[in-house]
Amino acid sequence: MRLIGAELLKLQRRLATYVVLGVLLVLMALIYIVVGLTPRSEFGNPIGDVLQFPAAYNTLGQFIFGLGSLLAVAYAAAVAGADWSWGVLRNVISRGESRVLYILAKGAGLAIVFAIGVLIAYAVGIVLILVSAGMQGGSAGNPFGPTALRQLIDSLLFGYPVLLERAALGFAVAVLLKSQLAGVVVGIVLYVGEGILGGILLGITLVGRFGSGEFDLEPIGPEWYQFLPFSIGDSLISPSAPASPVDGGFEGFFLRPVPFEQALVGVLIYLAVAMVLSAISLHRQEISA
Amino acid sequence: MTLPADMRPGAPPLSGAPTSSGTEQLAVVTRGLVKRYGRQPALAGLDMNVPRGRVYGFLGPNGSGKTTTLRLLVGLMRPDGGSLELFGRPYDWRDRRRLFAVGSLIETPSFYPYMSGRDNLRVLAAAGPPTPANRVDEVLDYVGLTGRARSKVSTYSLGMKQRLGIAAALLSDPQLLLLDEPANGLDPAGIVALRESLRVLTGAGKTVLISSHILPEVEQLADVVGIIDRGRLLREGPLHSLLEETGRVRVRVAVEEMPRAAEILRRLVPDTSLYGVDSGEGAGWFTVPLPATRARDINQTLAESGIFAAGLEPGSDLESLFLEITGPGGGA
Repeated sequence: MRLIGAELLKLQRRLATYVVLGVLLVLMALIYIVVGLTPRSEFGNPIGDVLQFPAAYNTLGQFIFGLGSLLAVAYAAAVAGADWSWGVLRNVISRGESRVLYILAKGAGLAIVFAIGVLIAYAVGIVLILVSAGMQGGSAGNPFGPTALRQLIDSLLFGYPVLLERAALGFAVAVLLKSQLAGVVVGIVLYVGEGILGGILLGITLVGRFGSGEFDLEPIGPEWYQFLPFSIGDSLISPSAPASPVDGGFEGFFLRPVPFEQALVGVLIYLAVAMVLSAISLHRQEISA
Repeated sequence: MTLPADMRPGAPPLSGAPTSSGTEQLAVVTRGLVKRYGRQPALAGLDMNVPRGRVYGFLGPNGSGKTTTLRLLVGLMRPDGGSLELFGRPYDWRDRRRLFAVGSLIETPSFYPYMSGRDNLRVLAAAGPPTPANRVDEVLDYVGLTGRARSKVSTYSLGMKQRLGIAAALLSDPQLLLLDEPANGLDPAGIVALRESLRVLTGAGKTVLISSHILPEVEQLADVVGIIDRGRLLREGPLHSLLEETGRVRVRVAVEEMPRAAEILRRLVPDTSLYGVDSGEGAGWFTVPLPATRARDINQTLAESGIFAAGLEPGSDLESLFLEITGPGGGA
């Protein structure tokens, strides 16, 4: 607990903690303001999809856990890699602290901060939805009605592990590379790269399918690349549509989501593997910087 | 490597040093310690003995293996061969709790720049041995940083960071303190304070190992020195013994007698060199590379030739000793 407390103090004092959350909230506010200012005729019936509870929680969750994941990958990599970049890791190890406990405590501290950040983002998001619906001259409904509340809890319950899993992957990359900058850059490249790769592979699959004379537009899959580390969570965040903006958005039209239970197990496995890998890596590393 | 007589287990102590019995009286012992970086050997069989309750000066040129030794001692790295002992018991890098009794400042002091000095110590105190809540403020006061304790480390000068690093090393009230260039960046007052602090610590029975390039500083602080080069310990022992054993004698003679004195002294020791001439006093100095115990012989030889030395300074300084040992052929 001492170690987790220390990690929370480090994150609390770190400017990046507030910058990352601020970026997410500002982008979210911009989008909801734009939606609120857009004439209803251009959207058809946007209130029912984006600004109407309980369905609004789907869009909100996709945004927070989609863009939020990218920010979380970069933030977790920065936090993990900073110990090497600033040379502070040797202070901890030379005091006789367990390397494994230290890295797990660092992960736990991040998980707590992410939980707080997600709750703040949801709170702000709910207010933005209400305001945006008001700007449209309509009502978003009751965000805490029985159905909406269940939707909110589901959204949080299944989105949060996805955020943690993706952040843990960025965290593991930084620990393996022993660098803050390299961790952030490689983490983002992997995250974005996997999205691009998924799109290309889907395109190849579709071209092959049309080439063999199948012209029906029934969704296919799930395909193996939907089980990749940064992609598998999409099926939890949004069972019917891709979550991440970098995913492009057309995959959901062609691909069936990974079955919910499989996606959940997959996310938890990747999360565990990332943390175990981080712990083993630190345990074996020689610390020269 | 053979230990000097007064460092061998069971040998009588010098200057009131505790009697050695086995390795119990040694805070750190390394035997045949080997460490390689790829194919490059950093330590090539280091044998080192750091007596308890003493200041040990660990000296060596750049790249000689000093920092690698310290890294191995605090478990940052694993040796490729040899053994380590801490406080008379074998030490393995997996035995991390043994480090609860060790405080260290290795290489440059490193802290989170966005946090205050006090917060940095607070988060550090959460790792390793349990640390009393008031200990952070105690050590900050001890190193004279109380006034800037709440300022961000990024605003600290090099000397302040160094003092914070020393405070961090003292957090767990360690029995063994490993300090890598502790005087680096300190102002003269800071250096004096550090010297006094280390004296107080050794007075309280703690052991201090200082790795440093500032030889005059080590000469003032260290009771025992070890000189390392190319991964091997070339010389180790009480400082005064080493200076006497491998020292030089400076001989002062009148200017008019210098040519003849040079001839006589070079006949005695061919490597005798002219140290300098003080024309104001009408005298010159020769450096004779003989131990201090031979000063009487030098004086007698000159006197037999009718030259009376105006001064004899036995012994050497650590810098000369260091250069002699680590110079070409010095350690061979």
